Amino acid sequence: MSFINVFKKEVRWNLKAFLIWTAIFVAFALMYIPITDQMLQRSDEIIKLLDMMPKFIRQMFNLEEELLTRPEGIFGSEGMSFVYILSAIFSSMLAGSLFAKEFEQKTIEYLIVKPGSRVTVFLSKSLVMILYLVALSAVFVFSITRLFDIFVNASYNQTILLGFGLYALSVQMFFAGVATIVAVIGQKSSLNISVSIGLVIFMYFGDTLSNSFEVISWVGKLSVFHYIPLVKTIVEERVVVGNSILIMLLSLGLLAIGMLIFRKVDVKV
Amino acid sequence: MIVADRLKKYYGKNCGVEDVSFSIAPGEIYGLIGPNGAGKTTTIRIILGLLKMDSGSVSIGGAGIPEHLGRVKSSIGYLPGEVNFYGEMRVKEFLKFNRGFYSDDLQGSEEELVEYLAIDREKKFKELSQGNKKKVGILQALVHHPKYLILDEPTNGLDPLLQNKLYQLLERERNRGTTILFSSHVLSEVERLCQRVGVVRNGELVKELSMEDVREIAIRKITVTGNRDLSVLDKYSVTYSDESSRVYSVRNSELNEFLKKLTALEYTDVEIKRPPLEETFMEIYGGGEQE
Repeated sequence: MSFINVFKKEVRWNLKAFLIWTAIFVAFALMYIPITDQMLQRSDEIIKLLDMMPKFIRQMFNLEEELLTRPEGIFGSEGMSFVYILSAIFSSMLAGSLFAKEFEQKTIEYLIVKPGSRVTVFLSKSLVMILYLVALSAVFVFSITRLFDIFVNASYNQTILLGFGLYALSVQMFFAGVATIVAVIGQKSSLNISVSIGLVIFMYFGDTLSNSFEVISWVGKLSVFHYIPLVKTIVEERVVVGNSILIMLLSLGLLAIGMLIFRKVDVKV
Repeated sequence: MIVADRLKKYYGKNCGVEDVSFSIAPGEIYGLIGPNGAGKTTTIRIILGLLKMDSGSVSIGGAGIPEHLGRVKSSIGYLPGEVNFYGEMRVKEFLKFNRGFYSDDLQGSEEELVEYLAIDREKKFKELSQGNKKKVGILQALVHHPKYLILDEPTNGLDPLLQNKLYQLLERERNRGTTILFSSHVLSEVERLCQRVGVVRNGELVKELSMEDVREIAIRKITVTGNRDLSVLDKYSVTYSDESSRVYSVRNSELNEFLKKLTALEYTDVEIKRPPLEETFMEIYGGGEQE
């Protein structure tokens, strides 16, 4: 009873944020994908420019020749970088709204005293979070495949586009897990956003830099992006499904840790 | 029955509560009184499972807290000191959400309380005044007819009319056999409602008092103006004096005698006040460090 009650409340009160973020993702794809054909037509000029750049700069910014001569490569190089960052921000905001905000606005006290265990409250909120993350990724995949279909005349690999959706979901799940732990420990949504943005920047640039500089290759191994490599996926035309599933399982593990903390944590209001 | 036994809770090095024990029988209203920062809210929050205790034990209706809190949660009503619900929700949406936690049909009881407390269901919670927020808080604490009612400074922010309504509701609950714990720093409401009180100071329950004891320790501040010779009142403690007036601190038990002596004198004005609980405690138990 409490599970359904909290679940319904969270679905309803987070719907607006979900719709706004869905619109941002779709708008982003809509801004990027229609120029794909024109970018391809000018790829020779871009490649000439790239040839003048040092290799490490090209690696750092995903400016590989093979990427810029394929439609899915053009979206996958720069477009997906932004999608990753947006995904991390969305996940941490959602976790903040579901958990940290309850502490911040002191409504957690009401929720915990009402019938239903802390675990019930946590699970119903987590389910809403996963539901919205899956829904956002589904809308994202649907919008990019439809937009490619409408605007891109050059041939492309549809499976890679589906893979982008899977990668975006993996990133969202991972950062949702991290942000949930930060939310139940820190009990502040501002802390949540700061930690998540800091971590996404560290992981994203850590991964790209580690591709260019051997001395910091360990940083890349700490990054979630290392295990869902965009360049490799496009070049080898192979989606790393296994790693994506492992990242999602790891994220569920992070949520489980969050739940254990939530079960015991003092409500400091 | 609510039983707290030797509760201890520290926030890092700071003492929340050190040694708090009491038990409350069904149909009893127990007041937890003490100055601000004495440990009343910490005690209540431990009982509700919001805070972990460092040592001690709590049980509600025989269920150990926090392990078996789930068994009795649907029988608990709680009104926090500061009412914080979802600001964006309209009151009617919040009431529906609140009903969703209980299996019983609460609409009849909800309707009755909405009418009795004159709650506006159409407004968003964030648009309500402090007093109106408290009304919604009272409703959600009482609507499911709890067996155990825990109220943290319930009359804070309520006007006298609403305070009276709350007192009547609490009397009704007590007559139904509800076990009621409430904290306060207002001695007059404790006098009016409780059967017993526990006095908390610096995290310790320093004394448990019957209502006769409370009446005994209650002090009145009496300001007498306009008489030069007040020597007949010399046995009473004077807390302030100037050329035209004197302020006496008089225990309730001595009040009749004091007033009789006073009426025999000529004076231009007299004012009788109930001092705040803090002041009473300072006089009865002395000062000391607070939380």
